[in-house]
Amino acid sequence: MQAAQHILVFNCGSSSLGCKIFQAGDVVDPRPIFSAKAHRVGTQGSEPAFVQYEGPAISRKIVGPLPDHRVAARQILEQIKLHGVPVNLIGHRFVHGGDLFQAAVIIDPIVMQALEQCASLAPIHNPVTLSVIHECQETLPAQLQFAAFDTAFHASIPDYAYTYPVPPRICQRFHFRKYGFHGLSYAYIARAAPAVLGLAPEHLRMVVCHLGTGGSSVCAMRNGRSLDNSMGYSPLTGLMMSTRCGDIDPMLTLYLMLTYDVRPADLLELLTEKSGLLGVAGFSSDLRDIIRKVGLQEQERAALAFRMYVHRLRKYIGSYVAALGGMDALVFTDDIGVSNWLVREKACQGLQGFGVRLDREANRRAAGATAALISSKHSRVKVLAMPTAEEWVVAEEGARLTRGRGRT
Amino acid sequence: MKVLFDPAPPYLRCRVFGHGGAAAHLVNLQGDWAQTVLRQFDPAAELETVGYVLYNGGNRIRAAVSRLSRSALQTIGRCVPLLPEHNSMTLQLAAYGLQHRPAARHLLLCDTAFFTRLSPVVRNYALPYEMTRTGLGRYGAFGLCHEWIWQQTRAQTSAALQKVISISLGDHTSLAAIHNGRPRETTTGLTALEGVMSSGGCGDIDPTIVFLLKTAGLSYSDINRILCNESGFAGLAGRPCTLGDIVSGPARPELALAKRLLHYQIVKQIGAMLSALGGVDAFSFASEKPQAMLPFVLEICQALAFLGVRCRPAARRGRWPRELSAADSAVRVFVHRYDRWAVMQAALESFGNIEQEQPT
Repeated sequence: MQAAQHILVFNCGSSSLGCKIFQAGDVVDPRPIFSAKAHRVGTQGSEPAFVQYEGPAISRKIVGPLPDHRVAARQILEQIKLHGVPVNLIGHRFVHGGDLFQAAVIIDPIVMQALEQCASLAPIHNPVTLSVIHECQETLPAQLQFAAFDTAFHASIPDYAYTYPVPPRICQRFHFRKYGFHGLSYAYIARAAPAVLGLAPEHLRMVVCHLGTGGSSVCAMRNGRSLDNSMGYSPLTGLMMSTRCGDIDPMLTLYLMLTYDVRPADLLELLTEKSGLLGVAGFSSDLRDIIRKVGLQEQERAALAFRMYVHRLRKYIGSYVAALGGMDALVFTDDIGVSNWLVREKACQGLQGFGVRLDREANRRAAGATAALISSKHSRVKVLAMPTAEEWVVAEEGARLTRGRGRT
Repeated sequence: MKVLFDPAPPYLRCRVFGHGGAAAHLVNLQGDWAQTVLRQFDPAAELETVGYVLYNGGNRIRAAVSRLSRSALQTIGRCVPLLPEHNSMTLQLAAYGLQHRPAARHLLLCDTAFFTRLSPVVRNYALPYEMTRTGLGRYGAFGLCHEWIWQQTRAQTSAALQKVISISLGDHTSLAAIHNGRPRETTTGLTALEGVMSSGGCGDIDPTIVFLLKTAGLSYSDINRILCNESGFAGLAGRPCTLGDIVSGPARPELALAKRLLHYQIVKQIGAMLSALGGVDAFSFASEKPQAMLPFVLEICQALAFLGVRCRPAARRGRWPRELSAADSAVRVFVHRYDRWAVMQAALESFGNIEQEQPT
């Protein structure tokens, strides 16, 4: 019998910071004993930033400025200490491990150096995760830390989907290929969704939409394995996101530099932090803010941003249905995916040709706390809104890594 | 006599119609080439119409065929940055032609005009609005071809056929979603590089790659060459390749990968176009070599079997255009032989008819 561990998991989204503490014996209990989520971290929205805490001793919302992820992590760790919540292992969702990391790893000084080398691979995520790791080293120096990688689930993507058709000398020199992201979330859905759907996991063709408040992607899955993901070498590409442009003509980057005099140094910031919903709507990077303004005459750009977001999502779903040769289930997950019925309703319009029929009432009722079947009984495709559990997948990786180390 | 100029840097393709058939010319662009080109046509000859192909008219040129005037030259000039090599060639030749052949009728054929009718939802990139407001967007490409495919598909069917996905197969494959003659989506974007990979073009890739190449010290022209000329089939095969090489039973593994990749990209794009249309009545393929493409088209149709696509056993034989779909197919499938010169000539001549019909 394994001694009980308390595994704290940090999950840096581009504009959020999730934190959960799980109790682990032989298995990791999926119900966290403590959870916190910092919202609107470093965003330019009309609403203030806040941290929502849930736990036996603490259940409250603390509103206050959260200029970056490290500040958010510090505030959460202070609350954990204040309320005496036990922690003896800290895990981090690490978005992009490049070619260096194919599986979860304990963070020692050598690993830390290698993680630092990965910073530029995901400029929105990796640096902020590194800042949270540093914050943990400073605040809880005695605790062991580990990293689990979003890219690992997509190792099954076949060559025809991950290869970029650029000259091999360029691919080899820069390690260019599709890596795919949100893998920890997709790993959870791959394991948990078949039982909820009442479908056998074998031969199951699923399109999963991970729609976060910051980053979003779509995954084509067959037999619980990734066939394709809308993100690529970096998390910039694919869907339109809160501040990321998603898919653009590769020539557009050259065009911006040559015609709009965008300096190469500013280009990535433009595409990752000033584009997407924020770029089009102009006043917020938060889809919830934008939806509130849709229909107001003075906010035509809000309607445009929302319609562009939905159109691109629908296109990706369609392309992956074709890639899979049909679809048995369509799953919406993460914050926007489970909590926003309007996005789901609009995304499913136009998918009738693929056999999708939504139960509009069930869809509007689905609130997000638990998995909800939202397709009509006549639908060939089962549609599900289902919370993800990236942090639990990370905690499981941590329990596996430390098993047999004799450390609790 | 009608002359049609089609820029293909570093060459200019030129075709003469009328007076006993058509002829094609390749002109090497050296020295005062525009003057050299037009001097080939004897001033005494009856030069009735001169057509110029403009490959990217951005937001500015909205008609597939239009009368060229001196003021139109300014508009073309503003479009030059969109596709500098091709568009500047069109501009230079059109300016020279207007000045030195004033008696002829000068017409502009714009390959992006069809897609100016795309909705802003489709046409805009998710970039800062101030940039897209000035006109930066997905202009599309090969509009003359896709509009022609739509017209041909409609001509083939008596039944009400509204939603068509056109698939132009060639060294530069592209797709369009068309609803009652109006484009709803396409695979190409600001330039023809976006979308499906081509004989030398990379197609959709993560734009971070371009940034990293620039940061590594490559020049703009190096990056342009790598992504537009050395990628795609050429990048995967390690040598210049045509679509015909890729699809005709590849024996070498790198060609096999290129074929798998191309097949996968086309199937995915068909799914994307279908979701943009909210359904589909017909898949309409077009190729300059339809017989050689037929096995590849049938493979694509096989991947679409989940939509109820069924092809006739006798689909491999017959005349063009040819319907491949069986009577019980949920979606009709057509293949057309595409002759771009003939299509462009027809566009020029139909413009003439429209003009003649109008009392002036």
